[in-house]
Amino acid sequence: MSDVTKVYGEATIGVDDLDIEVRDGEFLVLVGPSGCGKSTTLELVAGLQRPTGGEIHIEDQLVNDVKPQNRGIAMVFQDYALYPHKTVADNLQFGLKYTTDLDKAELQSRVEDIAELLDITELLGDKPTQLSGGQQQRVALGRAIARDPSVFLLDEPLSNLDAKLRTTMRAELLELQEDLDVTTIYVTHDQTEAMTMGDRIAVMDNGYLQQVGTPNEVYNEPENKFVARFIGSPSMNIFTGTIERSEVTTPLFEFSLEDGPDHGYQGPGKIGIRPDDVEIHEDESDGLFRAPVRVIEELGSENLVHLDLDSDVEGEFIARVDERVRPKTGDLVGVSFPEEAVYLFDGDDKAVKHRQMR
Amino acid sequence: MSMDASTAYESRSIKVLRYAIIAVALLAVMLPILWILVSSLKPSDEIFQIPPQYIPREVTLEHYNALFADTLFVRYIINSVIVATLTTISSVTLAVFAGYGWGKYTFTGAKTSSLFILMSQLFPAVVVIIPLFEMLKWLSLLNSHAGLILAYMLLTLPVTTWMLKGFFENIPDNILRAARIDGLSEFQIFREIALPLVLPGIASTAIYCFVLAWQEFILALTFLQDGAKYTLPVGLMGFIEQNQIEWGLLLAGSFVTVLPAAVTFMFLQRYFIRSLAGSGTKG
Repeated sequence: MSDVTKVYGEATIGVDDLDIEVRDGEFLVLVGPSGCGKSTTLELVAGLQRPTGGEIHIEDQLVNDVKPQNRGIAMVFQDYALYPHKTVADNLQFGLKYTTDLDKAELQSRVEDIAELLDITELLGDKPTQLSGGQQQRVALGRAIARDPSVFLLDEPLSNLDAKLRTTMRAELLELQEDLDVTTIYVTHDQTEAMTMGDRIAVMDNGYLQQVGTPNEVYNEPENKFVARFIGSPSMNIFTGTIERSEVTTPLFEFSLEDGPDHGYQGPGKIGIRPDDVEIHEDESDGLFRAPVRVIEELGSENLVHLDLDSDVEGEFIARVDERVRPKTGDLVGVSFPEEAVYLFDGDDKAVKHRQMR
Repeated sequence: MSMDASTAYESRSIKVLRYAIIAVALLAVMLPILWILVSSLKPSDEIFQIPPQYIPREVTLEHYNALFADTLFVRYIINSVIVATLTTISSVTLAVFAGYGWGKYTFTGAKTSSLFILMSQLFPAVVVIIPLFEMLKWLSLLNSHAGLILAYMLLTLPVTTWMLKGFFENIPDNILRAARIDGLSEFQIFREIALPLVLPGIASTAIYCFVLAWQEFILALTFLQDGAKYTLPVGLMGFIEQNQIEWGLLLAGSFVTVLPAAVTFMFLQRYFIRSLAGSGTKG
């Protein structure tokens, strides 16, 4: 498996002019809000939909006209899509019965190996309806593994599981992918999943690919405001204003950048700061500006401070602060940003300055 | 599931009311059949005796004996079985394919054509009798079971197709897609995945079809002329003669006619209810 490149344009919605190369053995996560085209992309790779234009290659072979079963892919669906009238064992070996000439004993041993790998041996005789969500998930994975594919396609496989199980399965999936060393394309709307699982992340919005990069790259160096807001939780705080090289003016405050590389942009723009980088001063006279506290979420080791700034920011202004900083609701607090942590976006929402790595 | 919840929180008086309503409904449905059964076991002169005897003083099988020995009733049963069975098999078989196509594939004109099929149900059967008669005459199928079966097929196909279309639509697309990726051909997907999953739906569609063909009267009366080819409902009418009605025979025959439909339904009602509930969630 060397590369999957696809370039196509789907007229209405779907996916437009997408160009991605997935490397051999890589775990690529397609992430974006619902309707961004990530599932469509996956179905195009799977062969469940036909691209209107462009080319899809798997292992250097053009597969546009190749049927799904001949593409060397296996897919896991969000709703698992197990065959409800067949036992777990039959679900695992069903495809093999039709596509290979393995005899009964070979099929049997294949099923047993997979069951052992996924720890579902005792479920082999059960029907899917008797299984819990997590168990069905394993069977669906097993069915994919049984095909011994060169590419795994996973469509939001964890989104139907409860939070705790999701975390466990996340780790297991990663381990499994590493063991099997199979190229994987994983679709999710959950940026945490994307950040923790992907070798690389492809962020999509509205059918357009926004950015491809390692989790670190998309977090620290987002190419535009969409990626900046989508990756990272809580989302980046964004103020609208004008940028005059090193001077940023918003209705609420003025900010000057003293050192750092010159980005050379002048004009309307936006300034962004991640919640982690916001500094909250309980003395309201400190900082760039002050604002009343709307609510404080205590998470144990840290606190999320929501400020009443809705008319000035996109969404809600949130700061993630140390557990010792705990202003009360209604208190006025001072807010400041360290210069190296600030992002700047131009009038087209393209990033012109990133947060500098410390 | 929701049934459990409603019974759990039901107050005592509501429960009593619920059972009362069920009892009334049952009575309304069962009373005529019970009356037929009881009367058919009475000697002829006691059937219309006033005051009526609810439990016959003397139980006799004379009407049943006469029915099977002196009339063509056995012949009618065989005819009805043939017609209803073949109607069911042919209508359901065609509907399975059509329903799968309309339910699970998108193609140009899918919606329009499926709605068009349903539109044929807007016309009452009586309206189509004359054209059907002409068609069968043209095909030389008048006065034949084949012709009657063909007519019943035309009558049932829109409904059976739509019923099965609904059942197929209830199968999640991803299951079929998974099979596609698993390497099955479209026909294997149909045979191995889709078909087994709609078996309850096929059962209830078959019941609908069988019962309709079993009890249909007007078309059978119009298209069949030869007494030996009569189906049960038409045959029963033969017991109503110009000057007298053979009440004993009519009642015994009616009871035997109702029996198979009731028995089939009893055995398959589980599927019928399941499929009705299943299609209900789809809306």
